Amino acid sequence: MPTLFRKRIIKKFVLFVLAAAALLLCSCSGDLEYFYDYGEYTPGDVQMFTYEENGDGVDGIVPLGRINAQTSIAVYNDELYFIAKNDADKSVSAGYTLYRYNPKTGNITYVCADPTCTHSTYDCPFYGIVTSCEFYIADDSVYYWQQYTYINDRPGELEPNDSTEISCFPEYNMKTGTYKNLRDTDSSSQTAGMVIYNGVCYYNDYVKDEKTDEWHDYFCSQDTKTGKITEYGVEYTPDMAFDGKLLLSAPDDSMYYLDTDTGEIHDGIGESCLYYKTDDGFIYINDRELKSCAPDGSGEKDLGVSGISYFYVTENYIYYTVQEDTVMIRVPKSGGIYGSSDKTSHQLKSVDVPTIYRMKRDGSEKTEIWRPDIEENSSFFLPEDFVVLGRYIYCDCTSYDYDEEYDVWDIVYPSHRFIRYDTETGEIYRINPEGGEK
Amino acid sequence: MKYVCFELRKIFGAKYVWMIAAAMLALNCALALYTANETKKNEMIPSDVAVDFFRLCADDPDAIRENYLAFMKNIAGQQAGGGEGGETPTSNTYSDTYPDMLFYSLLNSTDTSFRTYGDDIEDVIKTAETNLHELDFAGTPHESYAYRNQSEVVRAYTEARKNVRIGFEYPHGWGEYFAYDAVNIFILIVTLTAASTVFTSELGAGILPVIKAARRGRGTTAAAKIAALTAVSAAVALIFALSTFAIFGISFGYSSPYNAIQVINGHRLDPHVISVGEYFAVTLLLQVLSAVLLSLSVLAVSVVFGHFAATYVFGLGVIGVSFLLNGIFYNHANAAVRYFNIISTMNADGLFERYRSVNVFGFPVEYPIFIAAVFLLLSVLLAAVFALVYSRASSAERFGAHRTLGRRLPGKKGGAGEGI
Ligand SMILES: [Zn+2]
Repeated sequence: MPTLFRKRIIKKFVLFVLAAAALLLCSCSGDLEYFYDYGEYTPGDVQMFTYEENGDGVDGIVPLGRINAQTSIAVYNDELYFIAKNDADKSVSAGYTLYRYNPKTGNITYVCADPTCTHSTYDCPFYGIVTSCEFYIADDSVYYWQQYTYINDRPGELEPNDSTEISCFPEYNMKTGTYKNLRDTDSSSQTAGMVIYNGVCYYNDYVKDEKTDEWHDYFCSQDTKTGKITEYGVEYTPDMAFDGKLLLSAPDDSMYYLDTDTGEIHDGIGESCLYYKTDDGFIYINDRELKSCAPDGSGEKDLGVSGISYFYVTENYIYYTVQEDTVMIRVPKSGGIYGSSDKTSHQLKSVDVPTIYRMKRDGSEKTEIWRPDIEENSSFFLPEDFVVLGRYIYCDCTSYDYDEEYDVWDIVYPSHRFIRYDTETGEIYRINPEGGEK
Repeated sequence: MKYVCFELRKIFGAKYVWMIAAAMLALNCALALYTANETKKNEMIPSDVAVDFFRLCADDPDAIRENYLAFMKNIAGQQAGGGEGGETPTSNTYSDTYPDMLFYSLLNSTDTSFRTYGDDIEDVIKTAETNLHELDFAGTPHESYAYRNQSEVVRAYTEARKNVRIGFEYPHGWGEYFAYDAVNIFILIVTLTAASTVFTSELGAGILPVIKAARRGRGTTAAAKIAALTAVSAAVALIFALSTFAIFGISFGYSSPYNAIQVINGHRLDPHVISVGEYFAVTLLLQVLSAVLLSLSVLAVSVVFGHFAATYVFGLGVIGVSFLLNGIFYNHANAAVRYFNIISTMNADGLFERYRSVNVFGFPVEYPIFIAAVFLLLSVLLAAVFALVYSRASSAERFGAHRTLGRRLPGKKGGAGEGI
């Protein structure tokens, strides 16, 4: 009888499997002798942090996309966002991740909302974030570039180590924690200077013209909801958007604008330059001189300063940088970075010292705000591009560390070189994810 | 019980079920052996040798420490004296085949990872605490999902940090066993095949008309079919899982089932205070639950659509889609798509990797709990649908379905597909 035979086999087999499993379980060495002890967890100390208001802010100020792209700190909802070395991953090969800094509490948080994430695995939305291109924040979402090599090394995989190059432009919603890839890209299309407006992303992309077989840096748009991409067939760059208009600058410096409702491009006014839009017009740089005009481009006014290398507009002030001084300092002959160089021989290096000033938006009350102190034989910081919130300037800095032993300055670019400068007291507060002062 | 036995006999009476089950079991065993051997090739030191060394360390840590210091001194001396071209020092205190260097590095990495567990968990807690602080500052209501989720992380990991007891040993066997997930495909295919017999063999059974005569009979039959199929799916899952467990046990042996699950690869941030053995039981349960869910869904679909070939293809489709979703290129945090399918649930490791939750009406519910609950609910629902439709369907309809079935089923899967 085949059924009976089968029954016997299955009975024997099941018994065998159960017995084998039981045997294995029993043979497991259960005698653990030494246990690890981690002590009590006590919530950390509260760091010393002070914050003072001065009534200034950035409401209603729209910076040009390209100015955003120059600065490594983005301002959104009165908080600062920046990319820095990922501190959650303690390995030497740790990458970068996006941080949020709350100027009022002094807290730094990871934008990736998962507290168990080390931000160093593929499932982190910010894994492989491209640091050289700008990220954008609009409507509670962050838009950024991601690029990395995906290696399939999951255990038990039959064909491990398949690798794929990933390069894309995703959207991460900070409220819901959802990630969505908007488009796959290649490194050549990772351009800075985009504008996100009303759920549409305006950008430039290298596109091949099918008729002429030539590559063009075309102006495109993508609906972030539907993913639909529109090519406009012109080489304009998006500048900024407000009131249903997207300002565009052409390669010949002429200006155009896109009606964001109809999708039609019209002639604009003025010439391409670096500018901010405020409630009462524009503030811009022309030939390194600061000027302002009314919303329709009329009434150009010279604000009376020149030699500007950077500027930032707030509700009450215009902050601007002028490179006035140059100092000569001794640096190690070779390298001079991370203290790894040979310091026994040195050379002279000229360093431009930026001074930050500010004035009222009408050009009055010009005041020196921050002139870095460069004293013989002591370390100093030099500010780079900055943002201003309230009475504080937040900027990236390069530090020049004085080495007494060799009488030279080491140029140091720490992974967190983001500092807060108090415009009223001149106090410098170093911001790093570990918290507090250096 | 009589009806259940009858249904069981029907399932076991189909020859092809046996053939497919035997073939799948053989294939699974072969694949498990192959995988185990491949994994073994990458071992620095074979697990039995490493286990002996770790036992030595536990018995007399001072002696090992002394040996280690002497070894390091020796290396330093050789590097200072030997200079260029000097040979790397080799000493074989613990094994003739493997140099001491390997043992020390294995000991070091294991010990370091166990020792730093507390700090790593503390980092997670602190991150969540800062997030809470910021949410508070932004005025986020404490009843919101975002706030509750971060609080839950603080609670779960504070609990874990306090209660997880990691014992010193060389963890082996378990990680390899948990990582081998091909077994689940085999379980699902056999379950699907077994489920398919519930209708096919009725044609040849003589008692059928008698049972069919009364309405109550049909209800009882439905219940019997559900019970029989549930039992068979569970048995299939257990037999496959345990035979795989045996193969990995023979290849690697198993470290203590009483140690914390956190010692197993990929479970370091697992917030659950359970032992390796308990986790093993959980994986078995999830495998059984998933197999039962698949068989019940096949049952329900077959009775609703009547067409058998379509049902079989549906079953294969469920397996296929789950497989694809599970293997989906996982470069982002949309856990829902990745975890919420049968195969990922059976693989379990991904669900338990770290604390992850689903937003259920503003409350964070952990993935494993959420999925188990949904699977259970779905199973009950599908069983109910089946029972209802089955007891109402007219015999003519069902016979219609049987005939197409009888023609198509002996063919291969492709043949079934053509029929649609
Ligand atoms: Zn992350």
